[in-house]
Amino acid sequence: MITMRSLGELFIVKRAMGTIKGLTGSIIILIILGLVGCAGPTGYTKASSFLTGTRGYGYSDKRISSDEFSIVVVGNPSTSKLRAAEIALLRAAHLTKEEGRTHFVIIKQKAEITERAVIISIPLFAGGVFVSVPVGEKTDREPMAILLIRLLSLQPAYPPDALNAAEVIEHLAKHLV
Amino acid sequence: MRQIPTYVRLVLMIAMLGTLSACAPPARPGRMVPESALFSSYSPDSPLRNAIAISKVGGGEKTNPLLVSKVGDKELHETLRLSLGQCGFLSTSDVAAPFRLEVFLIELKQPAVGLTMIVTSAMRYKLTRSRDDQVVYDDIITASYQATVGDSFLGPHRLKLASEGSIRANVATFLQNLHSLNISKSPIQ
Repeated sequence: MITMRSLGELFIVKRAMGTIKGLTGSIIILIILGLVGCAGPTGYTKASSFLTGTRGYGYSDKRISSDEFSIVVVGNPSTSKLRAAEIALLRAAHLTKEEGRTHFVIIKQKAEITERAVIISIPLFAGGVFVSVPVGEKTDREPMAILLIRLLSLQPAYPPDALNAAEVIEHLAKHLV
Repeated sequence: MRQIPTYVRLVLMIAMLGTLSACAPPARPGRMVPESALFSSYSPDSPLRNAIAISKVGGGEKTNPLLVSKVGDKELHETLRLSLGQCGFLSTSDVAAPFRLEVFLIELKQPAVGLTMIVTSAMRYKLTRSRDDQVVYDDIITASYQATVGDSFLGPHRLKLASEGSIRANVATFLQNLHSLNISKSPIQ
């Protein structure tokens, strides 16, 4: 037999369940975001621009002069320095082909480990909404690879330090893309 | 629809006001010039004394006031002009200068959000002797700087401070390299 007390308890439990159901979507999104944060190394991808005007992980390039370009790759903390350098080299090869050339030379190269301060936060339910509360900070180490390249014009014989874009793509594309 | 409590609305309002009041201005050249005290060991006999003209500056980005603070070519050029002048390297003539300097801002790595903002800059400096077009210095310098909440409570302002600090550290390293550069002994570094 259901008493008034147990009816009251049932009502409270049902209301709580309703609240939890309403929050399921938010909880799933938080879990997915957490998993994305633990994703594998950065792949061969263009660095996305955020709404703030800053760039994410991946490659970006700038034209220095008519034949010279700079290529920068920033990898996530799961990315090795070697992988970041390989992505930069692959981008250099693709850029060469995009510009209608076949060979390029590396003028300068540099590989660095940079730091990024990341906020550690926990989700708290307050006033009917989830609020992300910062509880600390950690420093992530991210590889950055820089390449300065010069595209070579079409010629019968290329210098010994010239790289064939097609060969670089064939060698690197399989395990980076 | 459930009403949002007053204190949550208050917090959101403060956050919005903070964001609007902090429209991003570009980095300030005066704040990107390294302190002259760092270069007290400057040799007056150096062939670089009053000998460098800035021939080209590139790679900078204009600041969109609605987004984060960037470093533009104009600000970078002014920073280099002030820095070289302060150290006695800047030539009075752009045409007759014995050395030409090209600087390219390869990357200004900025965080999207954060309490501590760490900005890393990568710049290429290329110094060419005008007489024979020989490159006497060509290097990529990277430098980082971090700004904390202690420097500024406003995120965009904190990011601007970190960006300026990163460029300042980068230019300082270049100037130190110039001081130690022996042109007669090492034609190409």
